Amino acid sequence: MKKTKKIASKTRRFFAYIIDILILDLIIVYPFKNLLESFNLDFNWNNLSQLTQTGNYGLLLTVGLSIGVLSFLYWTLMEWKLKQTVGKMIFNIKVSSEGNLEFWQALVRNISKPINILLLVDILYMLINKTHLRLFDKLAKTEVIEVEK
Amino acid sequence: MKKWKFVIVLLIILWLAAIITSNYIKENNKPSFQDNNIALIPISGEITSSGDSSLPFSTTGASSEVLVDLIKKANDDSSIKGIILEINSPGGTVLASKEITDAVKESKKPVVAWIRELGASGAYWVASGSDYIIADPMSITGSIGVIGSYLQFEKLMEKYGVTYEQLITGKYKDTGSPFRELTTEERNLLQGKLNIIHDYFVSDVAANRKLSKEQVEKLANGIFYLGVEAKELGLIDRLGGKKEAEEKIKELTGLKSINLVSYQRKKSFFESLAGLSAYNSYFIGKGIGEGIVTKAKDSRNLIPTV
Repeated sequence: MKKTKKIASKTRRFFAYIIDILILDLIIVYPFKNLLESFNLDFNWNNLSQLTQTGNYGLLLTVGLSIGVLSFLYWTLMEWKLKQTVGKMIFNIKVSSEGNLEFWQALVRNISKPINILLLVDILYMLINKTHLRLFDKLAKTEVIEVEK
Repeated sequence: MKKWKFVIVLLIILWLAAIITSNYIKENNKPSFQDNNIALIPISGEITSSGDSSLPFSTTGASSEVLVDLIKKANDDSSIKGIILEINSPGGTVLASKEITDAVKESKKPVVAWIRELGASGAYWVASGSDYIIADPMSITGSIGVIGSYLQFEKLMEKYGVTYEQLITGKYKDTGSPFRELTTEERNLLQGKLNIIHDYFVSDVAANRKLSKEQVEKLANGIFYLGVEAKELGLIDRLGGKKEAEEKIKELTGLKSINLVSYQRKKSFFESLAGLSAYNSYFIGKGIGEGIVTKAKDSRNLIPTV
């Protein structure tokens, strides 16, 4: 008998994403907060704008890129190996594709995660098209489904 | 089990990678601050201790908590050589104005106050704490005085048959309630407190501006002065605007050129949304709404403002 996939709700996906963000904040962003504090800068927008106004683009770019790349690795490796992130495990949802989830698929579907503007486009696509697929889900030929109990 | 082992190993690897990368950046990428930075701190809107105006959800106004913190940060930051206060405020509560004035006076770095359209009452008090005051000839300054007025509804309530049941312990507990008239004794009592604040305000401005108390007392009748008048009376040092403020801070810091760095608390996304809605609501009900609703909603209106 062919099993039917149940598409994960947007609410579950949203809360799973929040859990992942909290984990990333703790393990990846926190060391960089300490770095900026060691330069006598708090990790807040006032100081980030102060860094840009004082021409420290290199430092900002390096910190931003490092956080972005490490976060991207978390999502990509977790989904490639386990089809789930910690947030998805907690909310019993997983990534699904036609065959086995390939590395390129995990990579493509997570490209937008560390880049705010892409993530916005990704989510707007989902909302405007009233679909359960993000734009990068579509490009990666993946979808997020509920885990069968 | 195998799944969780992978999760834990990956998280540890990413955490170590974050620590190693941040340490590498720390060693090789020190921030190269210019050594001619001047903090530009805006003080706009009503001065309160929390920064909220009388509007619900409003994020407008100058918070003494935030401003004192910004002045302190500018002092602790070795790349900042001086401070320009960009003032556009009608004043605010006594304590908040005093807190900011004290922080300005305690600043180890030169402070220039640049009054734009409005630098009256509590905002002038703050400016007086600085090393130098610059104001436009047409700006509004001064207005040294204390106000504790409020709306009183006893007659209106009488008209509609509404009575006020006074249930208090302590003779003066509901002094200032908008639902009953003040007794002569209470009026004198409150006026006495306003006089104490007024006296403190005048003395502090006199000391800050190096004027005699009598001189300031004469000017402290609550009237505002235009920049040109304020210059004549010694309430400000120079007529001008941003250019003059920059020239003065250069002179005080000994810098040939300066780089202005905006020091202000950035609003979060939700604060901006709340601010937008409050801003719209304010202009819809401006005047009557703001006057009556905010005064009536709280029976403890007697927070004097300067």
